[in-house]
Parts: sequence; structure tokens; C-alpha cells
Amino acid sequence: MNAEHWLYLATTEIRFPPDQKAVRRELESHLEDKKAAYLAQGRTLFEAEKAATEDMGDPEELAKELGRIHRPWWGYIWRASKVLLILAIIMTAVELWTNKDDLSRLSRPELPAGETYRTENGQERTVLERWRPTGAKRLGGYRFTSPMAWLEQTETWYYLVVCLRADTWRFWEPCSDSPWMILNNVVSDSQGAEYAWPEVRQDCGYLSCETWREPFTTWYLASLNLPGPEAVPEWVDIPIGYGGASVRVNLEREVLA
Amino acid sequence: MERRHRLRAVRNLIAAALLLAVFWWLYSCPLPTREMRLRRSERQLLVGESDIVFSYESGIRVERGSLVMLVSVGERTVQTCSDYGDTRVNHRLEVWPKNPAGATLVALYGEIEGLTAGLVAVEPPASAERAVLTIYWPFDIWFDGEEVVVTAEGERKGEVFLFWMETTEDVPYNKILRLSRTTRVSDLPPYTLEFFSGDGALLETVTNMA
Repeated sequence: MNAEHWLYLATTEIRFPPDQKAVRRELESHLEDKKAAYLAQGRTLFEAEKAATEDMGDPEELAKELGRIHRPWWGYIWRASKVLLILAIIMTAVELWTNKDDLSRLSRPELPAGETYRTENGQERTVLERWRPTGAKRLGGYRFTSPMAWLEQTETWYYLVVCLRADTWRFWEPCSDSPWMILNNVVSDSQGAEYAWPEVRQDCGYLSCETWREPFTTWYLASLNLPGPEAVPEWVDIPIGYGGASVRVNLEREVLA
Repeated sequence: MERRHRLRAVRNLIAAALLLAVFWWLYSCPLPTREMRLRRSERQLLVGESDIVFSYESGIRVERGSLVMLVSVGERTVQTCSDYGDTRVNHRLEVWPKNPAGATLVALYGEIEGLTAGLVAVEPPASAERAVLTIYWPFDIWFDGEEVVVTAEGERKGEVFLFWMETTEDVPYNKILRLSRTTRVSDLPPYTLEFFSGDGALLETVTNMA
């Protein structure tokens, strides 16, 4: 039998083309070795090729066996996964490019590290005292902690600023960054004082809130307008969201400055 | 050979899944159904569990889709959700405090069917067969001047009553527009909501007027 014909018959049952080519290359090299051996014995090219294909066995039997071993599905899945990966790379790159301005806004603003800092609108504030409150609370699927709180003074007012963070691993549903999460509620403290956004209540202290979001974290800065530094409470209860739950922030530990 | 294909396919699929997750996040994590979007917003606002009591789909096509309204009721709150078209941008969830003493009136966000505002009364008395809403728009120097009183008959829609407020000769467009943009109880105009039984007896009156 002609070597080309033998190779064609032996690999015809392998349905995944790259596998078919690889197996064919391997069988071809075996055939070439055998053919070379017969040629060295003094046979003609025709005889050597015929003897080599006979030595290799029945190509149809071999084809069935190779077809059974080389199932094409993983090959096709591999091919499809390559296309999917390329598409995913392109889509993500395009989306990253179009979102680059939004992504730069994800970094959180500087919290006051020193004694004075300047707000976004240029107002200078002096930090009188700082705390690192302890404790954490789980509300819904979010873990609330207060990494920092501080007492600050502007030209005319004193503010107790409580920083809260809500963490989740579910990146597709971070806690809402609406300021109403805090402003919709009335904040109370250990001294019996209450603080609210004027639209919610006007007969108590003034409350304001700033928020921002990172991929797994939402930050809230609740500012309570205090009458003076002596009004700093031991703890503050900050209700969050619309479900009536609140987070208690203890200010009695770890005074930093 | 098969093992190599399998390993490569698994590696590629994992890498593609990770990249597609990043893409989905960059694309604001859109969800396929309105109920899933409502539930996610509720969880993000820490609203608590709720039941959907009303859904409405506008016949008017807006931005590649219809305006869809859902109303859900929780233990302490009533949520109104509207979304249409690109729901990454056009999805809103408003949270209204529930009236502990009776029915709660909430406004659906957005103009429905053109110049119409929709209001929904949730948790009406069980035996109520008729509901009447009267809105007293006061004199307003900044918007449209005159005082207007409008009465609307409610349509029973399962567990709620639905009211339509339309622009007419007496009710200027500005008032309807403001009503359809109301998102807070304090922004609702003064109203009286009355429920009647089948024999015409007054069952309950709810009002926000002092």
C-alpha cells in the first residue's frame, strides 16, 4: 500500500484537525524509519514502502482505535475557549478604556492625618482630637466598622466626624452610597443629644453626610455639629439605611491625639 | 493530547470568566430581570424583606424598552421601583415609610403614558371595594399659581388601588410633572384618601393634612 494512502486511512477517524495532523506526523516518522531500514537492506523504494506499511498493520483497525482515543470535544472546547478569551480581553480592555475617568474617582479622599486639613471647597479645618473606634456590626450582607473618628473645628463650629465603612465581597452589590442612608435617620449619642438633616428634623443638632465608593467598600462620613468640645459623647448611635438597624461607635478607646 | 486540551480549555475558561467578571463590573453589573434589580437595590439600602404587590408596564416605548414600575411592601417601608431602557442609568428605587395606622399612598416615579402621574395606595382595608383620592394643590407662587382640587377614583389592582392624575384644563402640566417626580412623603401635596365598602360605607380615611 502506498504510504500516503495508508496514513490517510489510519488518521481518518480523528475528527479534531490539529490532533489529526499531529498523529499523522508521528505515524509518518515511524513509516519513514521503517522505510529507511528496508532501503538499507537493499530493497527498492516501492518494496521498502510496501513492507513498511505492512509492518505498521491494518490502517482501518488503527483508525478505529485512534478515533476512540482522540475524542474531539475537548479539542473543540479548547478552540472555543481561545475565542472566548480573546473576546473577553477585547471587551474588558475597551470597557477599561472608556471607564478610565470613572475609575480614577474610585480612590478615597484623604482622611485628615495631621492637625489641619483643607476640604474640597477650600475651607480649613483643625483636628482637635482623633479616635480609632473599636467593634464591628453585620447588617444585611455588609460588615460595618468605624476606622476613624475625629473632632474638628472650623472658624465657627465644632464637628464630630465619624467615618464608617461597609465592606462586602459581593462586588456586584456594594452598600448604597446615597447620603440618605445616614441622613434619612436621626443620630443619637450617649449624652442624649440628637442630630438630623434639617429636612428630616429641625429641633435637634445638625447632621450632614458625605459618601464614596470603592469596589468592595462604601464609605460614609457623618458630621455632627457639636456645641463645643465638651459635648463629645462616649458613643454615637448611627442608624443606617431604611431597615431601622444602627451601628454604635464607641469613642472612648484609643485616643490618637 | 486530550489531557493537554482539557488543561488548556480549563485555563482559558477560567481566565475568560475572570475577565468577563471585570467587564461586568465595569459595565455596572447589570441584572437580567426587574425583580432581581429591585431585590438588589433593596439589599443595598438595607431595606429588609418585602413582597411585590404591584407591577405595571407602560405601553409607551422609551429608550429601547418600556417603563416598568414595581411596588413592594416590607415591614416598615414601601418601595417604588421604576426602570426602563438602559437600566444601569434608568433604575430608581424610592423608599417610603409605611403608615402604621392604615393605607400608605406612594407616587410612581416618572410620567406614565405621557402627561399622567400614577399613585398607589398599598395595604388598603381588606373589604374596600372603592377608593377615592382627593388632592388639594395649594396656591403656589413659584410654579403654577392657582389652587386646584382634584378627585380621582382608584382602580383595584390585586392588593392595591391605583390612581391616575392627568393633565386637564384645570390641572396644569407642571403640577402633574412635580407629582410624578415626588420621591418623599414630605413632598406629596396635601391629600385625603378614602376607602369604601361595597355598600358605600366609609371604611378608612388617610390624610397628610393637619
